[in-house]
Formats: sequence, C-alpha cells, structure tokens
Amino acid sequence: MNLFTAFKISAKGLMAERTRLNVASMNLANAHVTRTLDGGPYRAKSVVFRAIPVSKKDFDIDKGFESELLNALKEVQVAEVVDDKTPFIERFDPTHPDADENGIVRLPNVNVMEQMVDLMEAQRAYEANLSALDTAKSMAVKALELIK
Amino acid sequence: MDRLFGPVFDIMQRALSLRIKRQSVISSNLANVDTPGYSEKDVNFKRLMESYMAEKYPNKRPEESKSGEIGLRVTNKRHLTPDGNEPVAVIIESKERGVPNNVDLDEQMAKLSENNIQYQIVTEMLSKKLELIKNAITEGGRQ
Repeated sequence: MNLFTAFKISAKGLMAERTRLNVASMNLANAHVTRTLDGGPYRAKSVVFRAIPVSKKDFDIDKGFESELLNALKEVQVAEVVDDKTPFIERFDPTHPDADENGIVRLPNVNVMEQMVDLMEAQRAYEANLSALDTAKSMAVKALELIK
Repeated sequence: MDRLFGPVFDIMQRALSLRIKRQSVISSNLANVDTPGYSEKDVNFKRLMESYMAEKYPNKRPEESKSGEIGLRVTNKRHLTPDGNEPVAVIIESKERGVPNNVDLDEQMAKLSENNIQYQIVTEMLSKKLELIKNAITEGGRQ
C-alpha cells in the first residue's frame, strides 16, 4: 500500500459527493415539472451510499498489519439512486393545463428547503474529501523534497 | 550502510510509512462520512511504533519501571510481549452517534492535519540528517 491508496479513496469520496450534488440539483431544477416521460409529475430522487473494500492489488496480504488495514479501509460508492416515496404536493389551480376535473394539480414532491440543506451538506463533505486529497498530495511532495 | 545511516533512518522510514497508512484510514473515514452503518477507524501509531521498536531494537526498549509499573522484560526474541506479537492495529471505535454512522467530520479533519504535521516533522528530520551526512562528505562545505 502507498500514498496513492489515500488518493484513490479520496477521489471516490469526491465522486460520490458530486453525484449527491448532481441529484440535489436535478431535484431543484425539476421542482415544478408536472409532465415526465413516465407520465405524472416528477418524483424527487435521493442517493444511497455504501462502503466497499478497496482493491487488493496494492496490499501485501501476507503481512499481519497490511491485511488488517485492507479490511479496515473502505471506499465509498453510490449504491443506488432511489425515488422519494412521499406523496405529491396537491394544489388547487383550475387554470393549470394539468389540473384534473376537480381543479387539483399534482406537483413534484420536492422539498426545496430539504434539497438546499442536502446541497450544503454535500458541499461540506466534498470539501472534506478535497482536504484529505490535498494533505496526501503535500505528503507526497514532502517525500519528493527529500531527494533534493 | 548501517554504519553510515544508523537506526535513525530505519525508524524514520517506519514512522513515515505508518503515517501514510494513517492518512489512508482517515481518507476512508472522510469518504464514508455519509455512508449509513459505517464506523470510523484509526491507526494506533504509538502502539505500532512501540511494538516495532521492541521487536527490532529490544535493547533500546524504554524501561517500564520508570512509570512505576513492573513490566515484563524481553530477554529473548521469542518471548511473548504482554500485548501479543501482533497488536490490534486498527481500532474500531464504537461510540454511538446515532444514524447514519459515527464519523465526526471535525474530529477527522483535526486528525488529518495532525497526521500531516507529524509526517512533515519526520521528513524534516530526515532531510536534516541527510544534510549532516552531506556536510561530512564535503568536509564542512570545502570543495
């Protein structure tokens, strides 16, 4: 194992948080969409993460500590993007072209406030991963400076 | 080689490699800050370093009696140390923080910078040591 393992783990973290950011943006952009390809209004989506073991190839499995480390290190991966099952928002608006016979329009179940909070959370987590990557980089540079 | 560089290089090399491993573990914690069910991990640097020193330099082992404890002395390489030969390297702290997991972002960031600074200390010491050797080779800078 080497410093690049840390690089890889942080990169996976960045990727996962970016996916979360993309999904939150998508929810916000579609917050008022009443027509989708599947019919009906847009349904909010959310991201589920899971921890998976890092790749074995950089590790010396025969060494006690290395194999223990291999078991401990986990990358993050986007497991799935799931539909938000909460009911659609119903609003009385008879002038809307998608209103039903009672004048009720069904709008997406996107809670803008929730999405903004999710966006900020993803941003902070992204920054944390970036810091880890930056630190690993500075360590690598320090090691390189030794041979100067 | 050993006479030129001494045990200091070996110890520093070990320290650097452990710091790099710890960096990976902290990165893993940060990457999984939003993963449900993940529990934070850490590398016990002090213990690993101590066991390495005890194994590699048994004579240089610090006296345990200093702290008032009566420790077991290792007089043979095959003696078992009280901790066992393979220390628990990665501790899984199981303090409950509720859902989704127990990773504390601030704590991890603090650990990250601490680890980085400790790494820089060792690299700095290494480069000083190299400078000393270089100085000796060039007879104090004489051409």
